[in-house]
This record gives sequence, C-alpha cells and structure tokens, in this order.
Amino acid sequence: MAWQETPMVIRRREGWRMINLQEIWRYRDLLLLLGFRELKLRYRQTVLGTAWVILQPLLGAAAIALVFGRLAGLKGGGAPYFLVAFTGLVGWSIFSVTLTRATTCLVNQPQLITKVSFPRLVVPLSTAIAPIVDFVVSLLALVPLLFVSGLRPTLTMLFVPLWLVGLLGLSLGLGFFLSSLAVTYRDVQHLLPFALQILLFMSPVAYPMEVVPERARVMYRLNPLAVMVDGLRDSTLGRRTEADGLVFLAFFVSATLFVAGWLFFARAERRFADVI
Amino acid sequence: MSSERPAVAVSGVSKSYVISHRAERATTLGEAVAQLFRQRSSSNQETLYALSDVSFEVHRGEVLGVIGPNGAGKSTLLKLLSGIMEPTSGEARVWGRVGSLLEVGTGFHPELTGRENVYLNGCILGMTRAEIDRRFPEIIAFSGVERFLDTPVKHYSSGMFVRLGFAVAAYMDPEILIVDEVLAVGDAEFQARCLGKMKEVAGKSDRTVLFVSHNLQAVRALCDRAIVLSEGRLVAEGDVERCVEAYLGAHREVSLGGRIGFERPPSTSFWMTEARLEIDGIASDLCPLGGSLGLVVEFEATTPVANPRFGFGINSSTGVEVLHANNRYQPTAEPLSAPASAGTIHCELGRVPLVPGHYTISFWLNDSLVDTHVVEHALAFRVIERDIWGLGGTPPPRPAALWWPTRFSIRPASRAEARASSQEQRTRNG
Repeated sequence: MAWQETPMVIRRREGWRMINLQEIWRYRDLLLLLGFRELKLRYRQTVLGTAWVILQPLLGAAAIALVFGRLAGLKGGGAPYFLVAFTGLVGWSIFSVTLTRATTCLVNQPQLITKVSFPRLVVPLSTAIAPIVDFVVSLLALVPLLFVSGLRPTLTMLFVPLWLVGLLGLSLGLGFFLSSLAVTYRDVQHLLPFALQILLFMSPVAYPMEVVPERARVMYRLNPLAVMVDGLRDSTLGRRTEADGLVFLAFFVSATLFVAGWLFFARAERRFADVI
Repeated sequence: MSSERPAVAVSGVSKSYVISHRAERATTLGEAVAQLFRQRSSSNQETLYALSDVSFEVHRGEVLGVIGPNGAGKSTLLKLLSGIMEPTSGEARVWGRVGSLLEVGTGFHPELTGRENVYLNGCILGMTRAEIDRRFPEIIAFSGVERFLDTPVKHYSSGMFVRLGFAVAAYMDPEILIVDEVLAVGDAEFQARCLGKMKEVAGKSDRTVLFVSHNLQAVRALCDRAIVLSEGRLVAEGDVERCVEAYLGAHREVSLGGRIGFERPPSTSFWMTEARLEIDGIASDLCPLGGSLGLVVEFEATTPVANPRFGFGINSSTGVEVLHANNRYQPTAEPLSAPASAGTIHCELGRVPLVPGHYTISFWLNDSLVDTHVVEHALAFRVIERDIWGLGGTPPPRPAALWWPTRFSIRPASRAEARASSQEQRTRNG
C-alpha cells in the first residue's frame, strides 16, 4: 500500500474556513443513510404507516379550509380553498420541518459529535431529505386533487423545483446557524417553535396572498418565505408568477443565508465536541 | 514489527478548558448577553488542563498502549488524534487513514434492524456503502448475529449489540487504528475474539494501533510499547512492563487510606458512591500477611434495584488478577428483601493468603447484564510481612502470588513399613 508522505496536521485552526464540497461528497452515503433513517423511523409502530405522508397535509388542509374558507369566508382566488390551503401547507412544511429537524439534530445526537469524526455539516444537511420526499409525494397527490376540482396540471409546474430550491436554501441556511448555536445555547430549540408560529402567520399558508391589503403587499413580500410559498402555490395551481424584484430578492436572501449559514457552521464546528 | 518512519507524531500538545466557578458559564443566551456587559473577572475562572505539553511518536506498524488512571487525559488524546477535537496548542501529525473506535455502535438506532445499523454505523465511521457491501459477509460472520440481521436491534441482548458494533469497526481496515476501552464491555469469550482481531490488525506490518485500556493484561499481550498519562502529562514512555509498573506505582498514591468516593458516571442509573477497605475490621490500606480483608461499597440508584450484582478483582503490581469474586455466580448470603435505591454491599473475604506486595482492586457493579459502573484499580492496598505463627521471623519473599496457609502434618512411618520400604529400595538398586 502506498504510504502517504504528506501527513494530516492536527492543530488549532482559527477564523473562517472555505466551504469544502469535496469533504461532503466523500460522505454522501452517510448523508443519504441519515436522511432515510429519519424516513424509516418516522412511521415505525404506526397503524397507517407511510400513508401519513399524504394524510398529514390532507388533514391539515381540510382543517384550514374549514376554518378560513367556510367559517371566515375567505376566497381562494379561483381555486377551491382546500387546494389553496394544501399547496400552502406543502411549501410551509418543507421549510418548517427541515428547520426544526436541522436545529435539533446535533443536540439530539451528541454521541455523533463526541465519538466519531466526520464533516458535521452532513447531519443538518441530511435533515432535508425526509421533507423533500414528503414534498414530492404531496405534489403527486395533488395531481388527482386538481382533476377532481376541475383543474389541470399545467406547464407552470416546471417552476416547482425552483421554489423547492429557494425554500431549502432558507431552511437549511437558517438550520446551519441554529444547529450550531443550539450546541452552546439550548434556548434556541425553545425559541424556535414560537418564531415559526409568527412566520406561519406572516406567510400566505392558511390564506391566499390576495387577502393582504394592496398597500401592505410590498412590505409583506419582503419576507422571502412569503414569496416562496406564494410562488409555489401559483406554480402548482397553474398560475403565472410575475418575476418582479421582490422575487429575485427572495432568491438572493435564500442563497445568501445558505452560504452564510454554511460558513458560520464550518467556523463553529471545531468547538462542538468541547461544549456539547 | 515497526519501521522507523512515524505514523503519528505528537508534539507539545495541550488541551485546556476554561471553567468558571459559581456556575457562571453562559449556557443560555440571556447569560451570554449579560456577560457581555459584565466585567470579566478572572479570579473565579480557572484553566483546566486535560492534556499539557504531551509529545511522543508512534512508528509505523507499532502497537502503542496508552495507560493511566481515570481522568488522566487518555480519551482526550484519542479524540484529538481522531479529529473530533482540536488541541489548544501544539500539533499532531498523522500519516495515513485514521479509523477510531471510541464507542461501540455509535449511531446505532434501536428501532433499525441489524443490517440497517451496520450500514449506518459503517458510514459514520467513514466507510462508503460499496466498502460495507464488500465486507458485509465478514462483518456478520464475526458478529455472530446472522439470524437476527433483520430484527430491530432493540431486541438484541447487550452482548449481541456490542458484538455487532465491534464487528463493523473491526473491518474498517484503516492504516492507523485508535481504540478506546471498548473491551470493557462484552463477555470474556467476545473480549478474547476482539483481542484476537486486534492482534491480526496489529500483525500486518503497515498497521499502526493506539490502544487505551485498563486491562493491563491486554496491553501486555498486544502492545510493543506504551505511554503512561497522569493528570494530563506524559509520565512514562517505552517498555510495556516498565510502564505498567509506573502506572500501578503512581496509582497507589491515589487512594491512600483504603477509601475512595465516586462521582455518579453520566447516564448511569445505578452507581457506587463510595468504597472502602476494612482490614481486620478497621478501615485501612495496610494488610499484614494473613490479615482478614473486607470490602464495603455504598451504592445509589435512581430506580430501586432488587438484585445488585457486584464483582471485584484483586490485581498484583504486575497486573495479574490474582483473585476474583462476583455474586452473579454465587449466592448472596444476605440478599435485599425489597428493591432499594441506596444501600451497602459488604464483602467478607476472610484471611487472604496474598504474599507481601502492592495490590489494586477493581469493581464492577450492574443490575442485570450490562455493567453500569466499572472502576478499574479503584483502591490500592499493601500486604506487609508479619510473623503470623510467632516463629520469630517472616517468610522470605517468593515470586508466588499466594502464601497459602496449609495444614501440614508429618507422621513417622511404623517400623514394619519402614523395613519393607528399605528392603524394596535395596532390591531395586541391586
């Protein structure tokens, strides 16, 4: 066997580090296994099993349609309120589930940090896999729902991956920040549900964008999450999205958060084993 | 077999933690914010050195034993070399792929099957799926859990769990293998197999092994060389025998007086709080030859324990376990009448026939099968010479482990017998 002539040097590193994609690529199998472990575990010991993947957004959408559509009498803007709620929930879920899982993933598995060595970023990154699968399954379930409602899937569906990437950028970027903060400050996990609640109200999940008064619309759409959730709904329900400056801003914020979160994580990770 | 090329070179490595007294370390955001505005007082901060200025080299193909008492910095050293932690100062150089086994079955999930866990654990240890695919049959053969491969590991016995975990790591096949105290778990037969496997790894000429263990016999059997750590410093290096002596020698100071208190180990529900020696009924660590030895162990548990299992072993200064007792394999004279969450275990050994010398005692405490609290070489005592039989002298030192109080009887032969035997001797000689 060829003996490595240049040694690996272990010493204290200071400051920022470059994003190392090669390192993550080397651990791609671990990334996938951790992601699918989550999927496998989620529905163990349930009667309905994987049916929950579809049932959850369906039940959620039904509840929203009942409260906001029937009782509050909001209009779906051309589509049945149930579909408005369903598509809103699909976008919201991939964001909130990924962010919640990513934030707690390190704290919940301290032995991964203290007993083995591998690029730690793999762990929060893997938390997106199960929500992505949920996302895809939910969209497949949407197709028959569209037909039932007298709608058809249209070419605007092709924009869905774009919104998916945008939503993942937001949730993983924030997740990188929060997971490394949570290693030292456990407050983060307690603060998060509250913050998500506010974000849920501030995004067009349970209601369509049209409900927001015209004069507040620009302000409202400064929230990149609102733009993404709305864009995803439009694309899935066959409506065009006007690519204005605020849409570009939302994608810019998403990409920036993702990269900044990654850099922050890479800087913080060397202390993880000391403080967790 | 070792070549002169180094596989690991550690130079001046220190690892320190700053700890604040009065529990002032900020672990919540509020405290952190409050601390920003507060004058930093250095008076109640203390720098704790887990390792200080440690330097040594391991040659390619060498098996190095790392020994030292609990808290000496052994695990910290291995974590630094594994890349889990960074040193505070100094640096280490490593030539080759490092595989470290600091815990058996890291990432094992109770709900996943044996097969699923092998893949997950293997990937966590740095293997690819393809590598695991190739080694899968060997891993399973070594672990001996073929029949339960598709059973969730929560249904495994603790022994099966450990076997599977070790098997995955054993087939990592790294150039530098780092092993921390994993042999403390599992049954004797499995420990022997693990040692065998490690010998096999060590036997390959270009494999380097760093091995932490309290099992001095295992260190002797496996290692070419050893280092001894004590309070974060390297106190001895070189020949294994000399290091074992140095370790046991240094350790004697620790529990002077034959009494030791224990901290509750993390994530343990059943643990020892104190252990003390009683010699001829008095707390002491000096045992005259033929003195009677007693051991008193206080325990606590979060949930009441019905059947505390307790074992101890006495090791001589050469590291040989000369005596072992365990109430798992023999009846308890006075068992608990009802489960208790705190209590005392009394062990009466009676007169012990140990020859004069230094000894250490190791403890194993468990509630069912898994050892919940193990402290190796927790107590030390000395057996000193004494004129037991009042003969006006003491027996000269012998290399034997025991000086057995034997009932000697010498009877003269009767006359007829004596004549017959002398006649017989004459005919044989003639």
